[in-house]
Amino acid sequence: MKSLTKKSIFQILEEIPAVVVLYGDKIIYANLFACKLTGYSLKEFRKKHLWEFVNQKKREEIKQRIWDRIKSGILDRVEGVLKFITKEGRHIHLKYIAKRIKIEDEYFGLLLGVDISKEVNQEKRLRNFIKKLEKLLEYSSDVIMVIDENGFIKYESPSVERVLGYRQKERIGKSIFGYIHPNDIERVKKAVKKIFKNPGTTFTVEYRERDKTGKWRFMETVIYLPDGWKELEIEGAIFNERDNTKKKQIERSILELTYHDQLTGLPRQSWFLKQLKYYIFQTKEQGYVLVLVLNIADFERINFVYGISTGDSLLREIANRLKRLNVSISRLFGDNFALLVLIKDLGQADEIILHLRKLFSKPFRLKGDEVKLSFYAGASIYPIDGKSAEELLRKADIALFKAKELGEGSVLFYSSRVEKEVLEKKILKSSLFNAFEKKQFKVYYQPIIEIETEKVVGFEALLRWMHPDFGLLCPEKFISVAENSGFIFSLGEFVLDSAIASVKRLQKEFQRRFYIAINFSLKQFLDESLLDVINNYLHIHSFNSSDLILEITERTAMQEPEKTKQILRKIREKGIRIAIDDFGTAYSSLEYLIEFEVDKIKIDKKFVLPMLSNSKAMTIVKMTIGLCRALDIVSVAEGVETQEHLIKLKNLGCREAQGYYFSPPMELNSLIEFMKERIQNNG
Amino acid sequence: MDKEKSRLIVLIKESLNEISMYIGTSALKVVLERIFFDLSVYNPAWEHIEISDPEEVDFSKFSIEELKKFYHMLVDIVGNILGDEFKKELLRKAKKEE
Repeated sequence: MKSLTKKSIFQILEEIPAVVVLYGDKIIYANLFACKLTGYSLKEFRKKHLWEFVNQKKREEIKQRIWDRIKSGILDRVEGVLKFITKEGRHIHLKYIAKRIKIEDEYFGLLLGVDISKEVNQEKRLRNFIKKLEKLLEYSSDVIMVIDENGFIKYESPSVERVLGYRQKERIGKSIFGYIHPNDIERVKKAVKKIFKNPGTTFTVEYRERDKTGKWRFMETVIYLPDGWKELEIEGAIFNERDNTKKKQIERSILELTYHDQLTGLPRQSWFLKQLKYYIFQTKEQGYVLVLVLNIADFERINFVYGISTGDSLLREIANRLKRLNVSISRLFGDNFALLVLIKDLGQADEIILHLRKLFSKPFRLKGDEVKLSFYAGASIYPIDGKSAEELLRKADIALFKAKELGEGSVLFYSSRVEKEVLEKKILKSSLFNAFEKKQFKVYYQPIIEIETEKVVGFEALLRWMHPDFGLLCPEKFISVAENSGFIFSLGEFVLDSAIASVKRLQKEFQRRFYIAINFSLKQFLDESLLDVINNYLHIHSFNSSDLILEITERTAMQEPEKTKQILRKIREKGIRIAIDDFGTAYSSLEYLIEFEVDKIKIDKKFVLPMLSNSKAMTIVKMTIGLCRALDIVSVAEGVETQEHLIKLKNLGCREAQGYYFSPPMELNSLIEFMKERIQNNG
Repeated sequence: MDKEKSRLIVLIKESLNEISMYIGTSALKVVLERIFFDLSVYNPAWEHIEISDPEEVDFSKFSIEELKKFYHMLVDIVGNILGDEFKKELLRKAKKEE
């Protein structure tokens, strides 16, 4: 081969994109790339030895490596990394190969170098990161493991010692399944299989793992296998194990607390159902099981008046009394208890209820007071009302719902009719709010006639609900629902507003004074804002207060007589008149007629309708009219359906009447037509 | 939704939030699972209720009576766990909302 000249070599080296330095005892040549990288010119290079460009401490070592050994021929080629200091003082990591070459019979060193500073720095950063990570893993409360496809442990973080008691490398190479509870192995195996089939995903799995002392620990583990794990040189799936043993213990104690009531010492519903299932199994359809669900009447008020602690003592006392029945008892929640009794015949159910009533007949002591308590109860019987424990409890609860409507002390047995009624009530309640928005409520008006002149003197406002499923509903069907949901007030204002506005319009149109009678429920009547609300609508419609009649039932009036007296007095002071509705149907004493000043008494249609054929009904009507005349109260007969009714009432001296004989309740437009026709005919 | 029901749901959510601060989310889940299971006897919809995040439970489909029943059960059980004072506080809050 033809020997190269220095010049021809330099021409070739100039093109190479790497550091190329030719040197002997001094630098002879450095290519353009070397000059650009280091900031030195070729002239500056030529004044120095190559090793003069490294840290002083390393100079001798580098000189020996890249020149002395090559020059002497001990080595033909060396390689390594040197830290080159640039003209700006930066350190460049140069990975090099230095080779002994002969040019024109003289030996030189030729250094070829690549700048690996970036890689070195990255590696340094990575090393620091790994160090930090190792520290984190050591102090972490989780154990990090790498598990291969066959379940062998390839890595464990130092925290394994603290969490499970094993030394860090003690389990390396062993199968993780050897440490997992036999009942959990299959689940973990499945998870491992799944993760290796779907790299890049994460699974959470719970299992028990044996610690160094042999105890089982509850581990919650997130398993992760990075995408491209093989290329990343990761040996398997990463298990991030968290010791949940304490958490599990707490959860178990909490679960215990959900089964038993600490306050009364009674078991809760879950136990009750278990017991009921056992009883059902025991009877084998040869006897009956009575399920009784009990609710303490007015318990919320007791809590409110005496305080929650006293309420709790009372619940304890109730539980103690119930225990005397020697039947299975449970506290379902709050003031709801459940009783379970095996009975041979249905008559025994009545005996149990009798015992129950006896238990409550003795007063309870509350902070020195003696308080009589009452209850509501719903009952169902196996196998009549249901075959399963859940069904029987549910049906007893339905009966309880209805019993609450019937009043304190009511005990009601389940029947499909009761369920239908309860369901209807629930549907009505749930559709009540929307009904208002959908304008399903309408006010109807029934004319009231002065019997003497047969002229219309007023109207009774009657609320109707056009229910999409149940059709036209009268207030009796939904007032209790509206009262219980608090919706009664919005409904009451709606009636007040519509009725006053309508009668105002009729007064204008027919140039006559008509009154409007509006019914008020108990809750509305006892509400403190009643007068303000009435005043507001009287004001809005500029309506004469004496043309408004407030109708309340005897039952409403007698609920809180003292309060009623005060309310009625205030109402009458405003010039508003009072009528007692459904007279004679609820309250036997007439004493209230002395206490309350009333303007009208409405004789219920229950008496008016049959009076022509029933002498007892006739006597009551006669007496009521007579009473009204004696007390100077206007009598109004409801349910007048025939001319005979009217004639008889007129003869008895009844003042006013309403009923289908004159007109059924109707909407305002029809009422206007009715009035036009009537005025044309009767004047 | 009517106002009373909305108020009741807010009360329940606030109470659940407070309870979870004391006993933790997973323990609260245990309590809720038990109550929902008990209530499912009366309405199966309780059984299918999602409780992965107890504070995000959807109570809107239940009636006021059912929600009151739920709250009573919650108060009883949490009273067992956290003591009488906590129970009283929950009942006081409910009274205030009425």
